[in-house]
Amino acid sequence: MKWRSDSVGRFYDSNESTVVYFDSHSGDTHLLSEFAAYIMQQFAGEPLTTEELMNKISPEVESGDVSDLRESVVGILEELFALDLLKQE
Amino acid sequence: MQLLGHLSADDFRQRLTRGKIPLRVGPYIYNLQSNVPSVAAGIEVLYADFELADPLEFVDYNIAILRNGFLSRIRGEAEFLFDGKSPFDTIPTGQAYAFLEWGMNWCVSLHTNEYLKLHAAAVSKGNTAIIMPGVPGAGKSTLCAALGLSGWRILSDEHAMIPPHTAEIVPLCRPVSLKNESIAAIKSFSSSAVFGPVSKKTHKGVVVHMKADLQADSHDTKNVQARAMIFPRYSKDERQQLSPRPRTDSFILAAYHSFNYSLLCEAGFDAMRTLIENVDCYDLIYHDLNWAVKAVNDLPGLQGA
Repeated sequence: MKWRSDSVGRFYDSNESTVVYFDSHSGDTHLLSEFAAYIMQQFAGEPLTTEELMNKISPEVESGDVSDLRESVVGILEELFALDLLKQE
Repeated sequence: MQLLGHLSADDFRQRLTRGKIPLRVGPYIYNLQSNVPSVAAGIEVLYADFELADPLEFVDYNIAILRNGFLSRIRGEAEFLFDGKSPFDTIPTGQAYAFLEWGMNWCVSLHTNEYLKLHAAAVSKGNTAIIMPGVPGAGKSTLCAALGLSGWRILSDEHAMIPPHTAEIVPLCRPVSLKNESIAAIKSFSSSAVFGPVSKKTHKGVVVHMKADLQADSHDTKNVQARAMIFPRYSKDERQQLSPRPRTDSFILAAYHSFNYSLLCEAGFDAMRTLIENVDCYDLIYHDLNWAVKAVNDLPGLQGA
């Protein structure tokens, strides 16, 4: 199962702990955590499985424990899915 | 340039009855018509220093508040008309002036989408403007009136109109709407405030409008650069404070207070982003108007504005 974004998303990041995300697909605007916004940026142009996403971000994300990182990522993917920002295929 | 106040009382009333009062309000021309005495009295006091446009100029908003026929006079009812059509129910005559102002707001809220529009008061000093968004009852109009009575120019009590790709505000100075307790608060704040007719038992309670064009440059049409966005909140029980707030969070709150952010879609996002990047954002909790005015006067970066 892959995750995908149907939106050409727009971000407003003013280097605070949150990022504004405009979903061009729905026209809705969301306030995301920095990490959630970072995950959304990974879906620009390509659907990814959770594993592919993990492989993509692991080198860039400092985390002492990969299982902790995976747990956080899965939680955020589910929240983004619930917000209809990500779809499953 | 002819001001409305230059007309004799008789001439004004005759023209108003015939619908021949084309008032220049910011970038727009409102043509007004009314045969309701309280509406005439309010316009005469609150718009005396507004320019009458040339009768041949294009009218943006044709507005009338009329009592038509014997029955409407007996019932004490009037009708709000926009371009000759009635978009609302009849109005109790005693609330007619408030409805005129609300109707004038409605015209801008509904029809003007070349700007990003925030439900906000806006004031300026020199070339520096402050935007104050807020839900009804937050205290934005009260603070706007107090600032206007303290040397600030009132750009708008209701609409902050921002051209896309700028952080500028289009001046749209009109009377400030005060409700219930805020009327007494402004009366005790300054004895120089000028008020229009009282509208009682409206859906917002008692409503009075205050003359807003109090400065020499009140009717300048040049846009003014916004430097700060303040979210005011009147609270009797909380400690008064002016505190910075994050831009991203302010972006979302300002979008919530916008009339047309969603309608503008991506252009709205871009317009809001440009605005937010160029203003410092604050929360203002207050219950003492003198304290609040001083807090705004002392805003970092605005001293000497």
